[in-house]
Amino acid sequence: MKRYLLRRAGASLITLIAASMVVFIGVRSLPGNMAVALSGENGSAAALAAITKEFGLDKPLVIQYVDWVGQLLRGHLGVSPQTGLTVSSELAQRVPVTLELTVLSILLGIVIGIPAGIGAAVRRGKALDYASNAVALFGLSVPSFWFGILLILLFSVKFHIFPSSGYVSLFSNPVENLKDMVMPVVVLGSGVAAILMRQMRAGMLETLRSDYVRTARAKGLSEKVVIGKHALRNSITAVVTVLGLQFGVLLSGVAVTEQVFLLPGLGRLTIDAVFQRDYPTLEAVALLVATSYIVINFLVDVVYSVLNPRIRLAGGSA
Amino acid sequence: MTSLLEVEGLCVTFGSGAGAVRAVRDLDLSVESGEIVALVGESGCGKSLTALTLMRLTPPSARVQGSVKYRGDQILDDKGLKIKALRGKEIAMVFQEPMTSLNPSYTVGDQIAESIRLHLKLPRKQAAKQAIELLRRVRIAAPEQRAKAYPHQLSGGMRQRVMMAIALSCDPKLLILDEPTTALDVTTQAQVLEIVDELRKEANTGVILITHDLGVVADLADKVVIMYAGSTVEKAPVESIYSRPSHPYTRGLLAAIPRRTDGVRKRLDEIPGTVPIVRELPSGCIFADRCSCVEVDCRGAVPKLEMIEDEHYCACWHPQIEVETVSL
Repeated sequence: MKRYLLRRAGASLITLIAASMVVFIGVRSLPGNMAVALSGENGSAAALAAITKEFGLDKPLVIQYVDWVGQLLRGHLGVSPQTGLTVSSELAQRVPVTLELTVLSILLGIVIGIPAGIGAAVRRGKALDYASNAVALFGLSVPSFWFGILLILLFSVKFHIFPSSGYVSLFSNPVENLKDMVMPVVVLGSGVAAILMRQMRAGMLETLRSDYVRTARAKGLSEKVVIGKHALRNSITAVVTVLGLQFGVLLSGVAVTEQVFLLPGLGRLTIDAVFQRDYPTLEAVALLVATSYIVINFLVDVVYSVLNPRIRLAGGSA
Repeated sequence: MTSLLEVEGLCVTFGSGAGAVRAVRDLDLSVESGEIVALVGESGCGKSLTALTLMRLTPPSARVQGSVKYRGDQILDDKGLKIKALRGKEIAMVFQEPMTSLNPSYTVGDQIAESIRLHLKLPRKQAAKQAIELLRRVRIAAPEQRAKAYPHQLSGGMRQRVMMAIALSCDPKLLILDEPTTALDVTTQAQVLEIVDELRKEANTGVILITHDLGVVADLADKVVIMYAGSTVEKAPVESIYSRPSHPYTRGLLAAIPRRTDGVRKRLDEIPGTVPIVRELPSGCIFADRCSCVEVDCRGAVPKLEMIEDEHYCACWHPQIEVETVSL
C-alpha cells in the first residue's frame, strides 16, 4: 500500500508541474495583455512600456515562467495590478466562500444521491426507482442559472424566506451565512445528487447480480446487511471517482451560480480577472483549482486502496 | 417418520400466458438425515434452479409452486420468510462458481466468521477462532494465515473449500451443493467430496448434491434423481440406477462416462442432439427426439413418472427393465 501511495503521489507531483505550465502559457496567451488593460485603450506608449517593464512582460516566456515559479516556491502569489492587493489576501477572502459552497453542495449531493441510488437499485422497476430517475433527469437537464433564478423568484421575491443575494461570513454570523447558502447549495447540490444517484444505482444493480451477494443471502444475512455491507462496499468505488471529479467541477464551475446569487467567491474573482487580464490573480486561481483537482484525485486513489484489497495488497496495477 | 426435506410437485415458471416457461416441472424429492441425494442432468435441465428455489434465491421473476417441507414444516410461503430464518443455519448451500462467490472486499476469515456471529451469536474473537478451525476442517493448510487472505489471493480449490467452511459454519442439517467440484481439478474434487462424505457420516447431515458427473454420484450418493429439461425422468437408489438404468436418457448418461477399456481404443458414447429449449418442448415424451429407442407412441402423450420396481421410478413409455450391469 505504501508503494502504491508513493507512486500515486509521485504521479500527482508530475501532473502538478505540467498543470502549472499549462496554466501559465494559457493565461499569458489570452488575446490582449495585462499592460494594455492597465494603461487603458488610449494609454500612452511610454506608460505601456513602463508597465510592460515593471511586470517583466518584455522578457521571454520561459524566463517569465521561471520567475513566477520562483516566486511561488517562496510563497508569493504576486500582487494584483488592478487592486494593488496581494493575490494571497484576495484568495483568503474568496476561497472560503467557494469552498463552503462546494463542500455543502457535495454533502447535499451525497445525502440525497447515494440513498436514492441505493433505493432505486433495490426497488428496481418500482415507483421509487421511477421517481428517483425522473428527479435525477430533472436535476441533470435544468441549467443551474435558470434553477437559481427560479428559486430566487419563489423563495426571495414571493415568500421572503431566503435572501436573494449577498454573503455573510460563516464565522461572523453562522445563521445568516447558512441562510445565504441554502439556495445556491440546492442549485449545485441537486446536480451532484443526480449524478451520484445514477452512478450509485448502476453500480448497485451490477453488484446485486453478483455471485457473492447471492452467497451473502445464502448465509442468512438480512437484506440490510447484504446491501449495506456486501453490495455497498463493492459498488461505491465508481461513486467515489465521480465524487472526486464533481468536487473539481464544482470548484471551477461555480462561477455562474456565484454570479446568480452574487456570492463573492472564486468564480467572480476569476471572471473579473479574465476581463482585466490580471495575470497574477488568474494564474493563482487556475493553479489553485488545478492543485485541488490533483489533490482530490490522489485522495480518491487513497480511498480506492482502502476499499479494494486487490489494489492495497498488489502494490497497485492501476 | 417425517423426512428432513420433502419436496412435492415443485414447479418453477418464468413469464406467464403463452410465453410462460416451465423450467422445473413437478419435482418430487425427499432427503433424510445422513443421506446424499444426487440431482443429475445436463446443463440447463433445471437442477441448479431447483437448488436456488429450495433456498428461495431465485430471481424475483420466477414463480414457484408446490410444497417444500423441512422437518414436516411447510417452508414454501409467499414471502419466503420461513426459509430466510433457516438459511445459512439449518440449510446451507455451496455454489458452482468458487471464483466469484466470495466477496472480494473482505478476508475469507471475516466471511466465515460473519455467519458464525450471526447464527451462533458468538463474540467477534471467538468467531474468528472458530473460522480458523473450520478452515482446518476443510483441509486448508496454515489456516491462521489463510484466514487473513482475501479471495483473490487463493486458488479456485481453496476458495471452494472456504465456501464449504462457510456452509459448515453453523452445522447445517441440510447441505445443498450445486456442482461443487465442476470448476476444480481432480485432486481437489476428491478432497471436497471426502469432506462431504465425512460430514454425512459424522454430523448426520442430509445432502443434495447437484452434478452432471455420474462418476461422482456412484461413490457418494444414496439416491439419484435424473432430470431432463426440467422434468424428472428417473429416480432410484444409486445401486438400481447403475445396475438397472431404465430410462434411455440415464443409459445414455452412463454410457458417456469415460472408462478404461483395457487398451481397446473406442470412441466415447454420446447422446445425439442437445437439450431442447424449455420453451419449445416436443409433444409427448420430451426425450423422444434424442432417444435411441423411440417408438411411434412416444410422441403421443407425456409419460408419467411411475414405479417400475421398489423405490425405482421412471418416466418412459418403454422402460428397459432387464438387468444390464454397467461397470465403472
